[in-house]
Order: sequence, then C-alpha cells, then structure tokens
Amino acid sequence: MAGKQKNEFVQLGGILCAITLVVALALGAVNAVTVDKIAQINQQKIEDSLAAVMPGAESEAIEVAEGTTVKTETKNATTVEILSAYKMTKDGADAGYCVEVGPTGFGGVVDTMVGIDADGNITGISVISASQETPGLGANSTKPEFQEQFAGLAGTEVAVEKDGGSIVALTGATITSRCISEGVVAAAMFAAQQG
Amino acid sequence: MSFGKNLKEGLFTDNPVLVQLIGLCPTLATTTSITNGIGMGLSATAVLICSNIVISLLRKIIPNKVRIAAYITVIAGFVTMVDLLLQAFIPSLSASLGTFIPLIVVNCIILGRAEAFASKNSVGKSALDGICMGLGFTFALVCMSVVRELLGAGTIGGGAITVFSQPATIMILPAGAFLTLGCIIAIMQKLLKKGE
Repeated sequence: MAGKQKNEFVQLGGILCAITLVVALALGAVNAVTVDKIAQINQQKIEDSLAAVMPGAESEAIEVAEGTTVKTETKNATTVEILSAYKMTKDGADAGYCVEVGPTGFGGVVDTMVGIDADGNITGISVISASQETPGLGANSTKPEFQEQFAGLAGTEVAVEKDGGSIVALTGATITSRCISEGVVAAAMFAAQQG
Repeated sequence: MSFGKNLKEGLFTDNPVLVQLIGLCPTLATTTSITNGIGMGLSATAVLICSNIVISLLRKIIPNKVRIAAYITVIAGFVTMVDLLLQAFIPSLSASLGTFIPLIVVNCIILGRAEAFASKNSVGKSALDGICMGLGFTFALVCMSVVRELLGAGTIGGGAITVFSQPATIMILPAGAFLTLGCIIAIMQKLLKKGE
C-alpha cells in the first residue's frame, strides 16, 4: 500500500515536472527572441528623454548604486529613489547633470528624467512613464504643457502652488504633481552632491 | 457545434463578462480607453486560445489530482510570452496596460474555460471555444471602454478625436467602471429577454 502511494506521488510529480520543463523551455525561447529588442527600447526611451531635457548635449552615465535615495528638505520631506544619472557636456563644456528619479505618486513610481545645468537650474523634465497614475488625471503628467513649467526654475525650490511654489498642479492630480516636484528637488540635490 | 452558434453564445447569450459575470477585474480596471480595452481583450483572447488548445491536447495526460496546478503553469507560460512579446513589439500598449498583462494569469475566464471546456473536449472544439469566448470578452471590454472614454475623457480612439472638452472625470475612475458595467449588463438582459 505504501509503495503504491509512493508510486503515485512520483507519477504526479513527474508529470507536473515535465509540464513545467516544457513551459520553461518555451519561455526561454521567447525570451531569447525579445530580450535584445526590449533592452533596445528601454535604452531608446532613456536617450529620448535625455535629448528632451537637454537638447544637443552629450551624456556619460554615472554609476548609481541600486537603491540610492535622496531625502528632500521640503515641507513634504519625501524619500526619492535615484534610478540613473548622467554627466552632461555641451561642446566640451560642463553642462550639468541629468538625473532619472522615481518618486512615488498616486499609483506607483513615476519615472522622470530631470535636466539640471551647472548652476542648479532645471533645463527641463521628461516624464518617461506615469502608467500607474490615474488615466485622464495623473497620467496627464506626460503631456508637455505640464512639464514645460519646470524649465528655468531653481532646482531645489520647485514646489506646487499648494505648497507655496509656482507649479500649477494637474487638475485632480495634486499627488502626482507634488510627487514629480519632489522628484525634481531630489534630482537637483543629487546633482549638487556630485559637485 | 457550428462556428456561428458558438460565436453567438460567446458574444451574446453566454458572454463571459456580461452574462456569466466572470473576468470582471480586468473589465473594470483596464477599460479606461478604447486602445486599452482592445489591447487587453485581444491579449487575453490569444492566451485563452493557446491555453485551451494545449490543455485539450494534454487532457488525457494530466492527472485529475494536479490538474489545476498544471493548467495554471500552462496559462502562466503563455501570459509571460504575451507580456514579453508586447514589451518588445508594442511597447506603448505594454506601458499603458502595465501590471494587468501579468494578471491575465488569474483571469477566471481562462482557468474557467480550461476546467469547464478544454479539459473535456477535442482540440478543434476547444480552439473554437477559445476564439468565441475571447471575442466575447473583447466585445464586452470594447463596449465598456467606448462609453467610459467618451464620457470620462471626451475622446474617441485613445485620444485621437476630441468630442467635447468638459468630460465627467468620474467615468474613467473606478466608480465609473461600476456604473458603466451595471448599465451595460441591464441593457444586455433586456435585449436577451426580447430575443427569447
């Protein structure tokens, strides 16, 4: 009896194992086809955003340890993760930094690229992905009308109107607008730390 | 078992969302724009057809005791493939559907059809069932998203055409999803009663 039961376990386990093995092999094949393409698309997104926030400048990636965060010294004192950073040069001259930040918005991380010139002023921002924000409200942060407000401001003084700053928040999406402002401040602070 | 009869069942008389009331989570969550609705519907349909075919092929091999685990493994495999393919070839759709693509794994329509249909029927019938049920799901999603996008964002076709500029934002928020679904189910019931 015990032997029979053991046999059944081996049989059930064996069949499940075989199924998972086949599925894993198939997934491996699909991954092999798509992995380069996905990496290329992600790289393209970064390059597009760099070109958008600091046109005509050349970038050189700075190594940022995974999990690096900056705590902003604003009224809301938010901890913002730094996703990547780039040292920018224009015609051989120092042009500041571009910092990709991931502040937490209403639904999740709002991936944002921030350009900061050598004086600590914002040259522009580009929201790479706000897909977890509410469609029609927070997701509108990817539109240029909102992003254009940030250009020219002193990096560490960015805030939405409600917090005493100059950024007009998106209709019905104060949390998303505020999180992007905090992200910009964090990016400016990170750039200042780099010297 | 003809294609026409199956299609009518999938789309209307036995529509998975509007009559069977399963798969409501993606229906409520992803129908904020027509592009999202169609994208979600077709992705789930692709997974449903593939999983129905494979599960029907394996129906005599999979032991009854571990069938759910086996079904989920197959379904999760196909969902991950769809996810990777979307990321590589339709990145904009992948970005806007976000976490809802991986969540197709737990869409009860897919496991439901595997358990109720594909595990008991031939490959051909299961594939047909997958197509019809998938199209029914897509149909429901498109109905939902047309209403919600038009009223909630004032646009048609993923923001391509602006119809009016003062939309009722609540319609693209979660509450609007429930309002829309309730109304569409009510209309569906009325029409089905008439058809009897």
